Amino acid sequence: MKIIVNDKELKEYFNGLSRLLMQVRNTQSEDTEFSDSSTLATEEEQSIQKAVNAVETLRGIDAFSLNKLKLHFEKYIGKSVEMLTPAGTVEGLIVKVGGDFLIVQEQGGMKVMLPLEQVIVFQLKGKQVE
Amino acid sequence: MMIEELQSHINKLVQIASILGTVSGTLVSVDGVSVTIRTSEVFGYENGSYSIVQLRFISYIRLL
Repeated sequence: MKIIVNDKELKEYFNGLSRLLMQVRNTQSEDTEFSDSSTLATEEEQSIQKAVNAVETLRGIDAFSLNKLKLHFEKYIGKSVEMLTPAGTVEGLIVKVGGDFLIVQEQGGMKVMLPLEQVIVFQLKGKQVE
Repeated sequence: MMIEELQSHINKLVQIASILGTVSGTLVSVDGVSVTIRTSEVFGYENGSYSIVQLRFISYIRLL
């Protein structure tokens, strides 16, 4: 999912988010007699994690889709591929697939690191028909 | 993650490609949002020239 927002909307989003976090914090401070400090820390950690996830989703970089891409590319380690990116085509063998990137070794031996989110088209290089 | 992988290539020659073109130089530093490369032979911020490229705009990095 990709959301397009302008600066104003993004600012409003963060303002709302900070108000929400403040509310959560206030509620928690009212209930301090029922929860100890470690529980509070965990809840705050979760709130922060939620906020980070929301920002990541807003940026269109979903950890879930990156992981799906990673799993997909792992199947092609050692295979000859062609990757189309906004800056051009990269051709070679996939030698490594990381959490958010992959490394392709070109014919001359040079290695190219590609962020997974920058891959527009992925093609396996089959036999060329003349 | 890519940042950690890039950190292992600090002080090595790289070529960074974005939609607008490519820049080559020595990888100086990597953080959560950007990559800095020295594009001149000369060191130092006063005399050398540096390019700072936002990670999200990098299409690929060729390790030269």
